Amino acid sequence: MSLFGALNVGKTSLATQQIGLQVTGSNIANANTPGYSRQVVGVTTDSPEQVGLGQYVGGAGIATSIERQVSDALQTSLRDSTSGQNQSRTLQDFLGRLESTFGALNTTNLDTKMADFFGSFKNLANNPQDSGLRAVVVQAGASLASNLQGLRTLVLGVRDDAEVQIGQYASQANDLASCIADLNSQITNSESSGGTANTLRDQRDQDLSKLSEIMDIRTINLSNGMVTVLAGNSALVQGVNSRGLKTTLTPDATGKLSQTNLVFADNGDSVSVAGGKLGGLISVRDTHIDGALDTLDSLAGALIDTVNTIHSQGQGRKGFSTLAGATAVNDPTLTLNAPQTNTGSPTVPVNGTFNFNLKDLTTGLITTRQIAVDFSGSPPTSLNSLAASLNGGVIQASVDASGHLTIKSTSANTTFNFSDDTSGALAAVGVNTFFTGTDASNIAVNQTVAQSPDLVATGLDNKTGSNDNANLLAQGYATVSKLLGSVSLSNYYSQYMSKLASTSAGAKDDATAQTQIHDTLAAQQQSISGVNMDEEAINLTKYQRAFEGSARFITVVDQMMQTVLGLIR
Amino acid sequence: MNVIPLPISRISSQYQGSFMLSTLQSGQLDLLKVQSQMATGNRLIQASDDPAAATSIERLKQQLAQNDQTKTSLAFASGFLGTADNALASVITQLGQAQSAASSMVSSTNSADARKAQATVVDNIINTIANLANSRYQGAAVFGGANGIDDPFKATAGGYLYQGSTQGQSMLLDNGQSLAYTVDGNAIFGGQSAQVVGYQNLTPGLAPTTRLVDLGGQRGKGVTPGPITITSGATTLHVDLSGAATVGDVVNTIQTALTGAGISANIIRSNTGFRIANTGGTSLTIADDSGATAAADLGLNTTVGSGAVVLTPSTHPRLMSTTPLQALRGWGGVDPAGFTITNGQQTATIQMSGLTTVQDLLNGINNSGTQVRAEINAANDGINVFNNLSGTELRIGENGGQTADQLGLRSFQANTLLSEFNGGQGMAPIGQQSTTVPVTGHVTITRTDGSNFSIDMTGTKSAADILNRINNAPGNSTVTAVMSPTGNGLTLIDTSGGGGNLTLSAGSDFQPNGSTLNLLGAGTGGSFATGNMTFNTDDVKITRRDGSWFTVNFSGLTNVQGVIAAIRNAPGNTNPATQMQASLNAVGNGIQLADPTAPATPGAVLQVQALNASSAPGQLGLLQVPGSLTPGVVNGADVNGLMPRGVLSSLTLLREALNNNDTAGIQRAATLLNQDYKNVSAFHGQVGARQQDVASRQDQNTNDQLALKQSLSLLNDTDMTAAITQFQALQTAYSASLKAAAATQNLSLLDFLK
Repeated sequence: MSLFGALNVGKTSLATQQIGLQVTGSNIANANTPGYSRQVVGVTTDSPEQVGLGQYVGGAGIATSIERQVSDALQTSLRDSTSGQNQSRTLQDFLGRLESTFGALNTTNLDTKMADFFGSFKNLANNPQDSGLRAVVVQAGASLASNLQGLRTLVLGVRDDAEVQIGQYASQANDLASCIADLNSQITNSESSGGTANTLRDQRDQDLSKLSEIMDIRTINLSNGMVTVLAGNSALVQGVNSRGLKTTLTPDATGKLSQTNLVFADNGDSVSVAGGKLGGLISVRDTHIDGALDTLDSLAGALIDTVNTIHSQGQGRKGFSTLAGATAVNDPTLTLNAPQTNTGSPTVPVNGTFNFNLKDLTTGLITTRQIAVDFSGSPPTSLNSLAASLNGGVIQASVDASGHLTIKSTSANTTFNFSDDTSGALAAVGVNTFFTGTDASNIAVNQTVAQSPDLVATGLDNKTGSNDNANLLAQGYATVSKLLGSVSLSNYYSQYMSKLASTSAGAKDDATAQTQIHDTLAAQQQSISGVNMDEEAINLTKYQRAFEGSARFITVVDQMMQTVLGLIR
Repeated sequence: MNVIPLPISRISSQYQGSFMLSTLQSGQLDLLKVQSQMATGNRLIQASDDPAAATSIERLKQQLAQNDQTKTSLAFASGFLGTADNALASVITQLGQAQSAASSMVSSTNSADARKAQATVVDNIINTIANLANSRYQGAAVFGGANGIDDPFKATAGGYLYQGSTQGQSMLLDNGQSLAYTVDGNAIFGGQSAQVVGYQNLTPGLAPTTRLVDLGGQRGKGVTPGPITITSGATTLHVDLSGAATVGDVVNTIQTALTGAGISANIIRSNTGFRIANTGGTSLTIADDSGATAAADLGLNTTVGSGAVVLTPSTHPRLMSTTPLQALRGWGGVDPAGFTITNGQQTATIQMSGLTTVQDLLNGINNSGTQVRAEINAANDGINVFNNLSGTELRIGENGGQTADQLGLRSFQANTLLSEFNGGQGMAPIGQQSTTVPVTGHVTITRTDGSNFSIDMTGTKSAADILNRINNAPGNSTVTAVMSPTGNGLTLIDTSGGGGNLTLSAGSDFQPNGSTLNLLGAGTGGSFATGNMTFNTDDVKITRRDGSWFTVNFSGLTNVQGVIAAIRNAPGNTNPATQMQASLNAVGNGIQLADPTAPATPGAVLQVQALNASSAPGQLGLLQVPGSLTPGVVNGADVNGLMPRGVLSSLTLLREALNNNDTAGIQRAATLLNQDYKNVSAFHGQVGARQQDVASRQDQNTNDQLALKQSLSLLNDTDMTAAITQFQALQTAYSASLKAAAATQNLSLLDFLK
C-alpha cells in the first residue's frame, strides 16, 4: 500500500463520515417532520489494494446510498386503516350530533312534547268544558308542531354541514390528486439519472396519506417510480395525470332535498367512495341523516293522520258557522282517494260515510245528513262532488279557487258539525281537523282550532258535554298507526331512538377499534421510519469519532510522508 | 382508558411524543366523563353510552309522565267528589229540616195559614237544594253528568228542568283502566228517574246504504270487513270485502265475483240479513279466510245446498239517528197514526207524517214543548223518553193507532207493572180486602104448616150472620138454624108440623151481591140443608147495560195485561154474546171496557163499581162514567203518570200540599221525603266509597311513582361512590402519566454525551 493510497483511504473515509454526519443531522432536524422517513447511509468498503502477492488491504468505507427506511406494504395498510379510521370517526361525530339534536335523555325532547300534548287531552277530558284546558291543548299542539319543525331544521342543519364538508373534502382530494400526479412526474425525472428522490417520495407518501384520510384509495407502485391511485375501481391518478374530482348537485331520492355527489372532473362519472371522511360523510348523510328526516316526517305524518282522524269524528263546544278545509286539492274534479297526488294529506280516504249535523240554535235540535264517500261509484267522490252533497238548505258548500272546501251556514241560527266519519274524507280535506300539514316540515295547529279552542272536538255523537273523543285523542299516542306499519307513535319514536343510540354506540366502538388498528400500524410504521434521537446521538458520535480517526490517520500518513521526505534532505 | 398498542422493535422520538399525547388525552377524556357523571348526577350523558339502558330510561320516563298525568286526574276526581260530598252533606241537613216541617204539619190540627208559612220555609229549602244541585268544581257541574257549563237544574214555571246529561264521564288512568268519576245527581235531585224505557226492539231493516259499521254483527262484535272464500264444486273464489263500506257493497262485490266465476248463485239482502240462492249443481260454501271474520260477522259463513235457498241470520242492524222510520220493525214501518205526549199540563200529539228518519222523530218529541227528551238507547235498539221536569207526570199514549206501542213508548201498556202505578208507589194491595159485600134484601121462610115469615138479610157477610138472623127473626118460633156438621152450610129444622116442606124463597129485594149462599130452595119435610156458602171478596162489579153483572177479582195480578185478562175471563163474563170486552184505550192510555149488550131500559149505561171498599178499580182508573155518546164504553184513566222521583219533586209536592192545605198530600210528600232521605244518605255513602276508591288509587299512584323513580334511579343515576372511586383512580393514573411524560421527555442521550 502506498502512502498516497493511504491518504486516499483517509480522504474517502472523511467524506463518508461527513455524509453520515449530514444524514444524521438531517434525521435530527426532521425528527418531528410529519411524513419524514429516517434515512440511513449505505456504506460499502472501497475496492481493496494489492499490497503484495496475493495480499490485499481493504479500502475506505464509501457512502454508496442514502436510503429511506420505509415498508411499502405497511404504508398501504396504514393508508387503508387511515381511511377506515376517518370514516368511522366521521360517523361517530355526526351520529353524536344527531343524538344530541334528538336529546334522547333530555327533559324537553320530542317524546316529552308528544306525551305533554296527548296528556293535555287527558286533562281536558276531565273537564271538557274548561276553556283554559282547551287553550292548553292548542298550546301543547303548537309546541309539539314547532318542536317537530325545529327538530327537522336542526337535522337539516347537520345535513347541510355534511354537504358543505363533502364539497370541501372533494376539493382537497382534488388538489391532493393533482399534487400526487405532479410528484409522479418529478420523481420519475429525478430518478431517471439514478438514485432515489427521497424527499419527493416522502412528500408523495404524505399526500397519499392525506388523500386516504379523505377517501379510501388503492395504490399501484410502478417500476418507473410512479404510483397509480385508484378510487374504487377507477384510476384517479395515472402517471403524470390526475382525472380530477368535483361535486355536482342532484335531487335526492325523496325529491325534496338536493344532494352533493362526488364525480370525476374529466367525464362526470360518479366516484365510488366507501371510506375516509368522504365515505363517512356520504354514508351518514344518506343513511342516518336522511333516515332521521324520514323518521321525523313519518312521525309527523302519522301524528297528523292519527289526531285528525280521531278529531274529525268529534264535536267541540260549539259548531261551525263557516269553515274552510285546511288542505287544498290540486284538482277538485279528481277522485279524493289519491291524496298524495291530489290532497297531499297523510290521510287516505276510503269508501264510507260521515254525518253532517245541522244544529238549530233556538231549539237545540240537530238534523243529520249522512254524506256518502264512494270511490267505487260512478263518478267517484271528488272534492267538487263532496261540496255538492253538502250543499243545500241553509248550507252553501263549494271549492274555492285555491282548492279548499268551504262550507257556510247562511242562517245565523244554524251551526254545523261533523260526526261518525268512516271514510277519513274529513281528515283528508282538513275539515274539523286539529293539525294541518303533511310532514315535519309544515305541521302546524289548524288555525280554525287555534283561534277558537272551543272547536277542539272533545265530544262524540253530539252528546252534551261528552269527553269521549278527548279520551280517544289522549289514547292516540299509543294507538297503532297504519302509516307506521302498525306501530304506535310512541313505539315508533322509541324504536328510532333506540336504533339511533345503538348505531351511535356501534359507531363509537367501531371508531375505537379502527383507531387502535391505525395506532398499531402507525407505531409499526414509526418503528421503521421514525427518527430516534438517542439513536441519532449515537450515530452522531459514531461519525464524529470516525471522522476524528480518519483525520488522525491522515495526520499519521502525513507525518510518515514527512519522515520519508526528510530522508531526501 | 384505551390501550394504545406498542410496537415491539424500536421507538421513534415522534411516536414517543404522540404516544404520550394520546395517553394524556385519553386520560383527560375519561376524567371528563366521570366528572360530568358526578356533576349532572346522570350515569348516561348520551343514549349511546348504554343504548339498552337508555331505552329503558325512555320507557320509564314515559311511564312516569303518565303516572304524573294520572296524579293530576286523580286529584281532579278527588276534588270533584269532595265537592259532591260536601254538597250532599248539606242536602241531607236541608232534607232533615224539610222532614220536620212535613211531620209537624201533617196533623190536621194545623191551620191553613200555618201550613202556608211552612210552605215558604220549604220554598227556601228548595232554593238551597237547587243551588247545591248546581255545585261546581273547577267550573264543572258535579251533579250534571257530562252536562258542561250550564246549570244542570234550571227553575222553570212547572218545577225544575234538568238540562244535564244522562251520560257520566270517565277518566283514563295510566294502567289503561278508565275511572268513572262523575256523580249521577239526577237520581237524587229529581232529574230523570222517570223515563219511558223503550220496550220494543225496533230492529231496523237492511238497506243497500246501510253501513257495515252500523251493524251489530251476527256475533255481536260488529262487522270487520275482510277476505272471504267461496267454494262451489271445484271452483274456489277469493273475494275481498275489505273495501266494502255498506251492505250494498257486500252484495255487489260477492255477486260480481260469483257471476265472474260462472257460479250459478245469487245473493240479495233480506230484511235483516242476506238471502243466498244456489241454482248451481253443487253446493256453495262461504267461509272466512284465516284470521278474517267478515263472513262470520255478516252471518254469511254457511253452506247452501244445490238448488237451495238460505236466509242468513240477522246482522243486528243498529238503530241510528239516520235510520229511516220505514226500515223499523224489519221494514214493517210504523203506524202513521202518531201518538200523544202529556207532561203535566202540556200535551202534544206527534204526527208521523213528514217524519223520515229516527232523528226526525226524536227531534219531533224533543221539540214538542213537553220538556221531555228522547234518545236512542245505549244498546242501539230502541228509544227512551225522559221526563226532564220535576213535579210533573209524563204519559205517552196512542193517537188512535198503534204507533206508541210499536215504538215501545207507550207509558201504559200490557206489560206495565201495577207496582209502577201512582208515580211508582204502586197500588194498595188488591184482592186482600178485609170486608166483604153484605147481602141485601129479604128472604121468606115457608114452614111445613104453610105459614111464613120474612127475614131481613141486609148486612150479612158470613154464615154465622145468616144463622143469627134466621134464629132471631121476629115471628120465628119453630125454625132453628145450625151449622151443618160438615162444610160451610146451614141446616134448618122446622118443628111447626104439617105436611109441607120447609122452603126458603127470595124476597123481591133480595141480592146476594156476588156471594154464593145456596140459601134458597125447598127441604124435605121440616129439614133443609143448604150447600156451602161463599161470600164475595171481589174488587169490582161491572154491570152491563142489559142489567146483568159480574164481579172481578184482581188478586195476585202484576201487570195491565193481567187486569185485562181477569176482566175478560171473569166468571159471569164468559158468554160470548154478552162478554164485556176489555182492552187498552185506542186514544191515550188506560183500560177500555166495551159492553156488547143492548140497554134493558132506555138510558141504561155501563157501570163499574168498587166492591168490598176495594181501591183497586180506582187505582186502575176504571171508575169512570161512560160518556153520553158512548154509553156502552168506559174509557179508563191513565194511572201510570211518570213523575221524576227525587228531592226536588218531593219538596215541590210538599210545598204545593202545604199551600193547598192538603193533608193527604203532605202525608204523601212526607213519605216520599223519608224515601229521599234514605236515598240521599245511601248516595252520600256511595260518593264516600268512591272517594275512598280514588284515595286508594292515589296511594297506588304514589307507590307506582316511587317504584318507577327507583327503577329510573338505578338505571340513570350516577353511583357516586363508584364514580368518586373511579375519579380518584383516573386522577392517579393521569398524574402518573404526566410524571412519566415529563421524565421521559427530559431524558436524552445528548445530555450525557460530553
